[in-house]
Amino acid sequence: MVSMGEMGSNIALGFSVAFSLKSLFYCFLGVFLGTLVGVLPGIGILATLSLLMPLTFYLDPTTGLIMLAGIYYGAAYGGSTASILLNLPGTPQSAVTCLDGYPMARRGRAGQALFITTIASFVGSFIGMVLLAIFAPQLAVVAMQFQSPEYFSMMAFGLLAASLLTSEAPFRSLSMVAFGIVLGIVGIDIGTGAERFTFGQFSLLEGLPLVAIALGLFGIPEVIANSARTDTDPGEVRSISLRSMLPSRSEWTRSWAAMLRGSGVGSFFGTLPGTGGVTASFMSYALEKRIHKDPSQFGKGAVEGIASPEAANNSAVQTSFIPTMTLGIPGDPVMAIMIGVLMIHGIAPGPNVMVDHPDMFWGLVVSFLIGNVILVILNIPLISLWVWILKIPYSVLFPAIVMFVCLGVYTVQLSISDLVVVMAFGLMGYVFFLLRFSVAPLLLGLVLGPMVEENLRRSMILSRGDPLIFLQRPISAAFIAISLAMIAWLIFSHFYRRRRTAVAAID
Amino acid sequence: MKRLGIDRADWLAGGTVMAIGLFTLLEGMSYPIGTTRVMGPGYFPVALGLVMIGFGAGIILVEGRKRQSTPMPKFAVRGVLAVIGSMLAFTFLIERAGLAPAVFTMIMICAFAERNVRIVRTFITAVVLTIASIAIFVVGLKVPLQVVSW
Repeated sequence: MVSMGEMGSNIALGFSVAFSLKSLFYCFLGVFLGTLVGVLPGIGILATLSLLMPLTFYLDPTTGLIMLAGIYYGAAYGGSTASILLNLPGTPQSAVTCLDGYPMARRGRAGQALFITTIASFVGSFIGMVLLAIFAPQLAVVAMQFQSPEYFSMMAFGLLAASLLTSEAPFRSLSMVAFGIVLGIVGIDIGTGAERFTFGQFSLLEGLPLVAIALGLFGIPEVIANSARTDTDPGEVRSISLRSMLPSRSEWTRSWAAMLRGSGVGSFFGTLPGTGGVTASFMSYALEKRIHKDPSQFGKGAVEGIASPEAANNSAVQTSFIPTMTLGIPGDPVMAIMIGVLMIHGIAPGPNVMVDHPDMFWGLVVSFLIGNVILVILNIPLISLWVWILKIPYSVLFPAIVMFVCLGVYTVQLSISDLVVVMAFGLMGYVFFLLRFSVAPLLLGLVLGPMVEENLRRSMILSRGDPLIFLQRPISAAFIAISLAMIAWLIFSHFYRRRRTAVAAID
Repeated sequence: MKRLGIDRADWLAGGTVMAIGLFTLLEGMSYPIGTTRVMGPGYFPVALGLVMIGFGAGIILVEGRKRQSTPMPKFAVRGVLAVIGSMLAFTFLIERAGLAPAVFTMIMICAFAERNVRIVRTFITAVVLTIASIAIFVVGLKVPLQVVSW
C-alpha cells in the first residue's frame, strides 16, 4: 500500500514539474489544439496526435506526454461544441451529445448546453483524475510481481477486448490487430538477432517508423474521404454571449447527479482495457434514460442526456491512463501512441515507470488538473472563438493537414523513405476504409506486438514449452478465463440475435 | 454485386486479410521455426499467418452474412490522385528545390481533391501555408531545412 505521506510528497513533486514554464506552455498548447480538433468535425484525435508526435522529439518525454495528453482530453471537451451547434459530432465520443444537445440548441438553449457540457467535462475529468492518482500507485505495486506469463495473458486479453467489445465487426478488428502485429515483426528479432520481413531494405532494419504509419493511416484516408464532402452552412451557427450561457436553477439541480453517475460509469469503462470514451458515453446515456422518471423527454433536449455522457467520456479519458501508466498496456489506440512516445524516448513502459520516473507520472497527473482548469476558461468565456472556428471551410483545412503530415514525417529524421511509408500507408488506409475496416486497432497491434511475442517466448522458456503455464498461475488464468467468457458471450449473442431477427421476420 | 449472398466489400476484405496471412505464413516459414520451448524467429510469424487466414475466412463467412445498410463507397479517384500526387510532389521537391517550392506545389496540387477548385483561394492558402511552414519548422523548431535550394 502507498501511505498518505508518500502521496503528499508525490503530489508536491507533480506540482513542481507541472508548474514549470515549459510544462505550462505545452499543457496550454495541447489543450488548445485538442479543443480545436475536437470542435472541428473531420479532423480526428488520432490524426492530430500523430501529427504532433514528431514535435515530441524536440521535447523531453514528460513535456511531450503532457502535450499529447492535453490534446486527448482537450478534444473530449471540444467534441460537444459541434454536436450541440451543428448536430455533427466533433469526435466519436461526443456523438451521443447530439441526441439532446442539438434539440436544446434548436430551442434557443445552445449556450446553456455548452455551459453544462463544459462543467460536466470538468467534473468527470476531476473524478477520473483523483481515481488515477489513488489507484495507479497501488496497481503498480501489484503489477511489479507480474512476470511474462501474466503479461502475455493480460495483453492477449487487452487486444481481444479492444477488438471485440468496441466493434460491430469483430473479425475485421481482430484482423487489423493481427496485421499490426505482423508490421511490428519487421526489423531485427530481439530474441535471435535474425532479420525478419526486411526484404534486404536497409531502412527497415530498425522496424517500421511508428510516426509515419500513424500519420499515413489516420491523416491521409480521412482527408481523401472528406475532401469530396460539402461544407456545412456556416450561417447556421449563431454567436453566443457569456450571459446567455448560465443554466436555469432546475437545469443545474437535474444535471448534478447525472454528472456524478456519468463519472462513475466513465471511470469504470476507462479503466477496462479495450473500452473507452465511446462505450462510456453510450452506456451512461442508456443508464440516464432508464432511471429517468419520464424517458420520453430524451432526444428532445433533456439536460441529463448531455451532462451524463460528457462526464462519462471525460472521466474515461483520465482513467484510461491507469492501465497505460501502471501496466504499460494501452487500452485504446490513443494510449498506444502515448506508449509509442515513451518507447521512442527509451522508456520501457510498465510498472517501473512510476518508480523510475515519478516526476513524469506525477507531473502528468498535476498537468491534467491545470489543463482542465484552462479548458473551462477556454470553453466558457472564450466559446465565441470556437464558434467562429467552426466557420472555417474544409477546403482550406485539408491541404494544411496534408502539409503537416508530410513535414511532420520528413522532419523527424529528414528521411525520404519515411515519406514513402506515409504514402503507402495512406493509400492502404484508404482501401481499408472502403472495405469497412476500422484501422485504429492496427496501432494497438503494432505497439503491443513485439511485447506479446517477447513475453510468449519467455513464458515458454520458463515452462519448458508447456502452454499450461498460462492456466497454472492465478492472475494469468483469470485473464484467460475472462477472455474466453467474452468470446463465448459473443458467439452466444450472435446466434441468439440471429434467431430473434428470424422470428421477427416471420412475424 | 453479391455472390452467395455475401457483399463485395466482405469478399474483398476477407480476401485481403487471407492474402496478408498467407504471405506472413510463407515468409515466416523461410526463417528457422525452432521448437515451442525455444522459439525461432519463424515461429511467431507462422502462427500469426495461420490466425490471420482464419480471421479472413471469418470476415467472409460471419460478417459477410450480416445485412449491410450502406453500400461500399466508391473509390475516390480524384481525391486519391490529388492527395497522393501532392505528397509525391513534396517528396520529389523537398531535397531538390527546398521547403518553399515543395510546400507551395503540394498545396496547389492537393486542392484539386475537391471538385470545385477555387484558384484564387487556393493560391492564397498556399502562400499562407508556405510562410507558416517556414515560420514553424525553420524559424521555430530550427529544423535544418533549406527554404529554397538551387
